[in-house]
Amino acid sequence: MNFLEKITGSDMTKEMKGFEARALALPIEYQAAWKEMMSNLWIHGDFTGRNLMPIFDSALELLEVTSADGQSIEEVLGEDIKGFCAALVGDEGAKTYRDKWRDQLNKNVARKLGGLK
Amino acid sequence: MEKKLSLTKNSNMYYYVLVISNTYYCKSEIIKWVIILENITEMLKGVLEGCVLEIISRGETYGYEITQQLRELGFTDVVEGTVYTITLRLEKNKLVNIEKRKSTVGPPRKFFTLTEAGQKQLESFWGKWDFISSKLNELKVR
Repeated sequence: MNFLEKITGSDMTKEMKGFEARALALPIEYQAAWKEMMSNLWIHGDFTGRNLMPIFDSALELLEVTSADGQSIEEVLGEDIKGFCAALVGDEGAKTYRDKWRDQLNKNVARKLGGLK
Repeated sequence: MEKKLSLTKNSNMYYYVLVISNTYYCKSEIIKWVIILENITEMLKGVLEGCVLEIISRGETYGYEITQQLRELGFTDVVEGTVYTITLRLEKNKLVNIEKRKSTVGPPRKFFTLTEAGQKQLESFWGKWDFISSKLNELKVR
């Protein structure tokens, strides 16, 4: 991405539009699952959400291949969509914004306590 | 007065180093089983991944086929989404080779084969499994 894209995120907007188009091509029940996955995945986004782009791509790829196979959405994702999304993001990326806030709070408290000693 | 156990890691096996205070000491038997339990938790996380590696090692295959085989083995709750996250991880850690083939329905499909690193990981998995199952059998016959 060039400099302008870095500040405006315009390449991400383009990518998201592409993802939306692919999602619309899916069967209805898959689209509902896709919406739920999106909301679960955004929690794991970093400041710009750029880290999620390849993850959305992988998720859509799975949905496209399995819908072409004719599987039902329960067969593909089971009952635990949240767990699936967490697993997609991977172990390092599994920090939600809550975890980041918690880490920051812990760091600040530790620093304050360290200063009091 | 407290006994302290601290953890040191040595090539995938966990050992507890006992720091003894002036009057307490633990029986070595308890420590041995704590170590084994630690390994079992790690193992269970890796069991599904190990199975996927084994299935791929038997011949080039793809997601749907892997899911079917796991279900036939008795993992009836496994869905393709689960297998997908496992193969993504294998891909990221370079344990599998990927080939995309056009399919008659839908988008191109990924076909997996094991890399050399994947083969080593599989062997390490079976080694750990043999160790743990032999220890559990020891417990059973006592």
